This record gives sequence, C-alpha cells and structure tokens, in this order.
Amino acid sequence: MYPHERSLVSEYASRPFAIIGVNSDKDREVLKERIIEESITWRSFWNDGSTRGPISTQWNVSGWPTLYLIDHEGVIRYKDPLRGDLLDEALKELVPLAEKALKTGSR
Amino acid sequence: MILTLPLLFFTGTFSPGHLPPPLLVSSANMRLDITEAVEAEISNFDTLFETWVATYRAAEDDAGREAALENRPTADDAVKNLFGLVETEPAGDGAFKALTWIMRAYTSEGMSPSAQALSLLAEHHIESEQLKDVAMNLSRGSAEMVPGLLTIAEKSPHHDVQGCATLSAGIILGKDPLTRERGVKLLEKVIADYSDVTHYDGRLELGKKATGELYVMRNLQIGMTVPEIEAEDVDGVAFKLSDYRGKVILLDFWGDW
Repeated sequence: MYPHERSLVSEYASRPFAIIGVNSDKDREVLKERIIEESITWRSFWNDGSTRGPISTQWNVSGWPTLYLIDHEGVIRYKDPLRGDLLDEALKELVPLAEKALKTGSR
Repeated sequence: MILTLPLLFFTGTFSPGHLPPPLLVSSANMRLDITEAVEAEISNFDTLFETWVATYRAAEDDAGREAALENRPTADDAVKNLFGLVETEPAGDGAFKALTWIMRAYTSEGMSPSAQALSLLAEHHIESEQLKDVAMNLSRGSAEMVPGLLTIAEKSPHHDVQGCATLSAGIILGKDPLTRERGVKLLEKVIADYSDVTHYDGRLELGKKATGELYVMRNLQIGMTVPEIEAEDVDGVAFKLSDYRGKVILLDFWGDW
C-alpha cells in the first residue's frame, strides 16, 4: 500500500484530501523509525499497540488494511474492497466536490 | 494475478486406482458402510486436482496460467457421486465426511450443493458438536445458507453450536439491507444468550463479535455520517477525525507487517 498512498499524497498535495491512519503496530518506537524509512507523511491514530486495540475493536476490523473513504461532509462514501483503480476513481469524484464546497463556503 | 489455491483438497491420500471400492456391508449390523467409498471418491478428486495444480504451476507465463485456469477441474462429478452415497446412509460418519467435504468443494454450480449439504447435515447430524466449525465457517456464506443455519441454531442440543449458527445467520442476514432487521435480532440474541461462547481457542468471543457486527450495521454503512474518533496520534498528540472535516479522508486501518 505505501507506494500507492505516497503517490496519492503527492498527487493531491494542495487539494482537500487527507490520509488518516489507525495504526495497530506493537512498538511505537520501532514504528516511528519505519515511518521515517518509508516516508509515511500521513498522521495515524495509535490503536494502543494491538490489532485488538479500542478503535479497531469498535470498528469491527478483522483484516488489514481496511479502508474507508469519507467525503468532505463526513459521510462514508466507499468501503472495502477499495483498491487501486477503484480508489483513484472514487477520489476523482469526491475531491472536486470538496473543492466546490470550499469555494461556495468562502464566497 | 494472485491465486489462492484451495489447499484443503490436498489432505486426502492417493488412491491406488480410480474406481471406488464396492460398498462394504458390515456383518455386525448389516448397515452399509459408505466411509471407504466416500474416502475413495474424495481421494480420486484430490488426485485429479493435484495433477491440475502441477500443470498450473508448470505454466511459464500469465497466458499459460490463464489457459490452465480454464481447465480447472470442478468437483461437480464428485459432489454428485457423494450425494448418491450419502443417500444410502445419511446419518453415518461417512456421510458426515462427505457432506462437510461438499460444503468446501469448488463446483461450477455456485453454492447450491453446499446449501443442500448443510440441510442434510442439519437433518441427520444435528447431534454433532463438530457443527460448531461448520456453522462458524459460514459467517461469510451466502443467503442460501441461512435456512440450514437457523435449523441448526434451533435444534442442536449444544449451546456452542447454537450460538455459532445464530451468529453466522445474523451476520449473513445483516449484510443485506432487505434482511438487516432480522440479522440485528439474531445478533442481539447472540449477545443476550451466547456471550459465554468462544471459538478458535478463545480468540473469538461470540458476544464481542456480535457487538462489532451490530456496530458496523448501525454506524458504518455507506451513506452514514462517520463516527468520531478521538485518540492520540503515534507521537502522543491527541486529535479528532472531525478535525479534518472539509477534506476527503482516506481512513486506513494499517500496520507495518
């Protein structure tokens, strides 16, 4: 996933789009090193060091990665399976809507 | 492309020939013993499948693999023969083996042989504790499995089996908006009556699983407003998902493994 996520981050750099992670690794310090090594620039919630942490438990996540795509109004628009082309297409649909809302709002 | 081969077909032993042995009549009670014939039938298919897998693995490129996939053997004949054997002695161990094998078999007719096998298991093997595994494995099954699961939930004498069958039926029904309310009721029943049941050496607790499934049905469907997440980030700084309202968010449950 990392290469695709990195390319999304650069493709949508100045546009209303963010990747937010929920990370379930065990060791925070090891993870911080990996984040630097892999150029992971997006922010992640810490799931208390476990795949059975509070966030993934509440969200009933049993497979990794699990993805949700949420629009600018906070509405869930897509869920897994959300891979490759499907994700790219969904962003082409949703990001312009967010930009349109921004323009309308700032008038 | 990634292909997951069903390794479960490799568990059988190689049979010396390709003809199933004649049915054996046990002299003690004069009942037909179909176990050997069932095992031979399964073993014949394993041989066929293993030969095909070798062909698939020998393919040198994607085109070769695609061509091999076209010739993947289906278990249609084996399933038909096994149903024939089961008919002669549906309540025996051989029938149990045949029916559980059919439920996992790859057939060209979709899931219907599995549904048929499940209803025969419910009818003739309702006392079996092993139905717990059968029921649990169906949580990702199709709607066709629901009647068999509900029969098992109702008639099994085992609390564990009842719980797993109720859970799987609830999960399946809950996926479809048209049957969601029935699914919700079953999951609520799991929480009320079967929270004490666990599976996979305690790694799966039925009450927790049902609670999680209910949460997804009620809060995480497409078109619903996403629930708030409020927690620390990896560096220990607290933040909220709603801080990013106004942006499109790809929420990614990930781990570096």
